[in-house]
Amino acid sequence: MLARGIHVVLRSDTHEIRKLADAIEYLADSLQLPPPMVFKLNLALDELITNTIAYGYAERKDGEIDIEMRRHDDRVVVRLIDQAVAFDPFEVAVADTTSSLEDRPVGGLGIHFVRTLIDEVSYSRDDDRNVITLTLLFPTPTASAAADA
Amino acid sequence: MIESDWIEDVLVLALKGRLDSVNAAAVEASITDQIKQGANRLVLDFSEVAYVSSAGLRVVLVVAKRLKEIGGRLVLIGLTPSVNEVFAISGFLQILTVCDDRETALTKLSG
Repeated sequence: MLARGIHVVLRSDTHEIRKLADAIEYLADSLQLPPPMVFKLNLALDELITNTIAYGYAERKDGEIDIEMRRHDDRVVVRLIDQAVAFDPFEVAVADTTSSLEDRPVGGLGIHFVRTLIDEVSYSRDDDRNVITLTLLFPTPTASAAADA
Repeated sequence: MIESDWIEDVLVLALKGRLDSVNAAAVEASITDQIKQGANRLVLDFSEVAYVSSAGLRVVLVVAKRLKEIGGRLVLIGLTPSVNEVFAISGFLQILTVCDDRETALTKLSG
């Protein structure tokens, strides 16, 4: 029987991003996620977690980031929980993706990727925790995928 | 992580593996070092890069701006489909020069 979900706890250290990639790879295999979904999950989670480590935990390495990924019928739902300072990443200004090379600001693209690639995003402050929920829909109806399996 | 190759006055840098927040600072330092030492026509080869995050794109933007300031030029080659998508959603394809292969890039830079 295949796993329906995975739970990983990362330390607030940039090098842990590679551990995230391994966890997503494992989930992709056991849930049979198509490569475009794996790519989107990898990039979105990398960006959010990199932000949390750099700004939320301000490079403190003893913080924790709790990641829960679960497959439902037609979607994968990911919850990211940390105990860093309160911060809603989806409140940041929309990134500039149109100005000339000289005028293009350096940075600010990470959250733009999350907004662009993920179907539904939400943030809540729950007691002393930041909770981010991401929902990514499967590209094709689950029914046909199940019939193929 | 970076393999460098001078072809006449063009420096071709082939990146390998992932370009993310883990190694972006080191890659940026290594490329800007080459620019300080006089490289001003650069080809960045992404054909063996499977993954780029915003930290990696930041490096490309910093290098592109730096070269523009000193009258240099930058061409990117070998973007794999997922890496190309990251460049596309960033609006980077409008401000950077992207070619299919090394030969086309070298022709573009020799002029």
